[in-house]
Amino acid sequence: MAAIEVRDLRKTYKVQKNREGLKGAFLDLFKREYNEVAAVKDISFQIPEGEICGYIGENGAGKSTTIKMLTGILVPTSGYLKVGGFVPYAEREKFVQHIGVVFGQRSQLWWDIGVIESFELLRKVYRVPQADYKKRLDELVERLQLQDLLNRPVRKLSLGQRMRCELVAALLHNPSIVFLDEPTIGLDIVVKSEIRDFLKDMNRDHGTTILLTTHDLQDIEALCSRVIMLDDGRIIYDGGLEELKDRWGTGKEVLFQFGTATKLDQLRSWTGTLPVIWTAENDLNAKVWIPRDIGVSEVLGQVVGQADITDIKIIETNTDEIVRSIYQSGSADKPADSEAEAESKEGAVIHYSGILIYSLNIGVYYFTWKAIYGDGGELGGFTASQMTTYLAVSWMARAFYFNNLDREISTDIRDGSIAIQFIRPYNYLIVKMMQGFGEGMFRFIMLMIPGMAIAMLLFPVKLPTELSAWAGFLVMLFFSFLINSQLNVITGLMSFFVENNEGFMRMKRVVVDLFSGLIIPISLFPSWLGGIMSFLPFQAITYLPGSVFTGRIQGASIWNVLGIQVVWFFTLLIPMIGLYRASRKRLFVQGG
Amino acid sequence: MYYLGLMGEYLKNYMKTRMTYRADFWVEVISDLLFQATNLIFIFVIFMHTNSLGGWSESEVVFVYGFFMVPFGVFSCFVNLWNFSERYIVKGEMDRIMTRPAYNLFQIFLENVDPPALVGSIIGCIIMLISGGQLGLSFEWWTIPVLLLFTISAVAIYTGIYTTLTSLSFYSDAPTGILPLMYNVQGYGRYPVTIYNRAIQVLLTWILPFAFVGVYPASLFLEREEMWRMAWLTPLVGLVFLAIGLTAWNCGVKRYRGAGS
Repeated sequence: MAAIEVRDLRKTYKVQKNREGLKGAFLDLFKREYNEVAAVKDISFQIPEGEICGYIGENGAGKSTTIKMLTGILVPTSGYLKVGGFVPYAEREKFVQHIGVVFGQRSQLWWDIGVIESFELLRKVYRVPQADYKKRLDELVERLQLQDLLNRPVRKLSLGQRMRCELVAALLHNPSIVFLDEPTIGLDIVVKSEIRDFLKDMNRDHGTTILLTTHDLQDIEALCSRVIMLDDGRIIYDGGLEELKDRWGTGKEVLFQFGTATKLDQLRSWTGTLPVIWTAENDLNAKVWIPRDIGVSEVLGQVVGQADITDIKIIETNTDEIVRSIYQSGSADKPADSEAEAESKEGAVIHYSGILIYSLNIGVYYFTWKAIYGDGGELGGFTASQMTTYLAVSWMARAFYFNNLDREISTDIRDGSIAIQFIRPYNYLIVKMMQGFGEGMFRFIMLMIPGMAIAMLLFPVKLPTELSAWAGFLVMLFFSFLINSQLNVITGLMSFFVENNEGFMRMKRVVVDLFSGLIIPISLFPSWLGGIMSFLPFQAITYLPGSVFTGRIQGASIWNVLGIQVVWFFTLLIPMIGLYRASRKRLFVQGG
Repeated sequence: MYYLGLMGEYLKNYMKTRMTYRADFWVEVISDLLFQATNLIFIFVIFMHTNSLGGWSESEVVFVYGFFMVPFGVFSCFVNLWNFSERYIVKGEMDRIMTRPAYNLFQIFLENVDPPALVGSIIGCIIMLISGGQLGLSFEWWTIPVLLLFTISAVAIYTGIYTTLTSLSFYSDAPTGILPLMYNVQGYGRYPVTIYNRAIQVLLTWILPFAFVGVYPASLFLEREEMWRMAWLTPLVGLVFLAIGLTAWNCGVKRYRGAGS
C-alpha cells in the first residue's frame, strides 16, 4: 500500500494586490483587489511505505505548501490526497496521531520549560501509554545522546541541540510517516551528519516512511533513494537520484597526473575518434571530459597502457551543479501565470466597523451621562451639552493619539528582533514615533473625521465657533499624541528590565483611559484625586485638549494649558532617553 | 476526559514557567486588580454626583459589577485570544497546532492560559458579598448553583463573540484591531441597559449580547422584577453564541493558508 498518494493536487491562494503609492493604499481600503495564484498545480505522485523521498525545488516552488497539505495543515483547493490511509484535512485530529512533523525553522517545544517536560506534555497530547513512552524515549535519548540536555530549558539549547530534541518530540508517538521541512537548516556539519545517520537508521529499523524537503543536496544524497523535484508548482522530475544524474548530468571528468611529460596532442591522438575533450594545465597534469553516453573505462583503456600515469581521479558532476542547471532551465521556460482576478471588500468592512464601534462608545457614554444628569444642571463645570461634545471629541481624539508602540517595542525586545533595529542607520525610537504618527494621521482622516460627523448626526454635539479653539485643539492634539507615545515607549522599553511586562502594558492602557479624563472628566474626580492628577501627565492627553474644544478654556488660557503639555513633553523625554540608553547596555540576543 | 487531563498538564507547565519569573506573576496579579479598581472608581465617581442611575442604586450597580467580574475572570483565564493573529497567523505557529491530535482552538486556549485573571473572579465574589449584604439580599439554596450556571453561560457568550471575531483573521491578513475596541463595548453590559436608547439596548442584548454577562443575570440575584425573564435567557444565549463562534472558527481554519514558504 502506498503511504502517500496524491492525485491532481492543487492549491491556489488569493493574494492581495497592493496598489502603489498613497493613493493606491487609499483605494485598497475601499476596494481590495486580489490575484489568484496557484502554488501547487495539479501534482500527482505516490510514495510507498518505507521509502525516503526527497522533495526539492527552489524557494517558492511549492514544497512547503505541499507538505502542509500532506500534514493536514492546509485544505487543498482540489485533487485527491491520502496519507497513511487518511484524508489529512478531513480527519485531522485522528490522522496526525500517525505522523511526525519537524519544521526546521519552527519549534515544537515549550520555550521556558525543561526539554523533558515538553516531552512529557507531548506524551499526554498524543496519548502515548507510559510504558511505550518510556521505552521509546530511552531509545531516542540513547541514540541522539541527549542525556545531559533533558533538564535544560529549550531557550538555553544551541540550535543543534534543539534540533535533536525537536526530532525526539516529533517521534515520541512512533509515527509511521515522518515529514521533515528543512530539518538541517542552519546546522553545522557534525550535527547534520548525525541527523542523517539517525534518520537512516530509523527508516531501516522501523520502516518509517520519510518525506523531506531541503536545500542541502547532501541530505538527499545521503538519505534518499528517490527525488521529487518541483518547479513553479509542477513536478519536473520524479525518480531515483542516480537516474537524475544520468539524465541531467552532462558527463564525467577524469584527472590524470603523469610521471613524464605528456603533450596534449599525444593524448588527443590516443583517444582518436571518441568525442571527448582534453585540456591541460601543463605537461604533467591533464583533464578529460567524457560525455555520459561513453563509458569511462573505454577512455581509460586507450590511455592507461600508453602513458606513464601516477594518479587518476574520476570526478562526477555533483548534484549541486545538476540541480542548479535544472533550476535554471526550468525557470527559463516558466509559463506566464494566468492570474484570475477577484475582488472583495473585506478590508473595508473592518475599517467601517471601527468607526461604528467608536460611535457606539460615544453613544453608550452619552446615555450614561444623560441618566446621571437627569433633568439638567451642571456637573464639575460641564453642562450636559458640553459633556456630550467633550465625550465625542475625546473618543475621536483617542483614535488619533492611540497606538500600540508599547506592544510593538516589547515584542521586538522579547523575540530579539530589536538587535536588527540597532544595526540600521537610524534612531529606533524616532522611527517608531514617526510610524505611530503616520498611523495616527491615517486614522485622523479615515476614522476621526467621519466618526465625528456620525457622532454629530446622532448626538447633540456642538462644534466650537472660535478659531482659537480650533487652532488650540489641533496643536494640543499633536502634543497628546507625543505624550501618549512617550508613555508607550517607556512602557515598551521596560521589557528590557522585566521578563514579562504584559501586566504593565495592560495597566498603562487602563490608567491612561481613566486618568486622562477620557471616561470621566477630571473635574468630576473627588478633589484629592483631582489634585493628584494635576501633577501627572495623563490630563495632558485628553482632558486639556477636550476642555479647549468644548470652550471651557478660552482665549489666553489656551496658552497656559498648551504650556502644561509642552512641559510634560520635555519632562518625559528624560526618562525615555534614560531608559533607552540603559536598555541598549542591557541588550542581549536570544537563541543559540 | 482527555481534554480535562490536558488542561491540568498545561496549567502545571504554566506554573512551572511562572515560578521562574515569580516577580512577573505578582505584577500581573496587581495590574489585573488595578484594572478592576479603575472600573470601580468610575462607578464611585458617578455616584458622587447622583443618587441613582436609571433607577439603580450605587450598591446595586456595584453588585452588578461584582457579578460581571466573575465570568470575566474565568474567561480571561481560559480564553485568551488577544495575540492570536500576531502569534499564530503572522508568525505561523498555527502550523504546529495543526499537526497535533487535539482540537485546534482548544490547544490555543490551553497555550494561553492566564490564571492570575482568576483573582478578579474572587474579588468579584467578595464585592457581591459586601454589596449584597448592604442591600440585604437573601441567600437561597439555589443561589450558588444558579451563579455557577450563569457564570458558565456568560463565559460561553464571551467565548462565542471573541472566537467569531478572531476567526476573521483567517480571512484577512491585515491586523483587525477590532478586539481592543470590543474590550470597551463589553464593559457596557455591567450598567443597567435601560438607561441606553432602544438601538443600543437591542445591540447589547441580541447582537453583541454583553448585557447577558452582567446586568441581566445579576438582576436575578438583585430581585429586580423587570429583568428576571432576561436573566433566565442567559444559558440559551450562551449556547447560541458559542455555537456561532465555533462554526465561524471551523470555517476559518479551513481557509488557513500558513505563513512563510
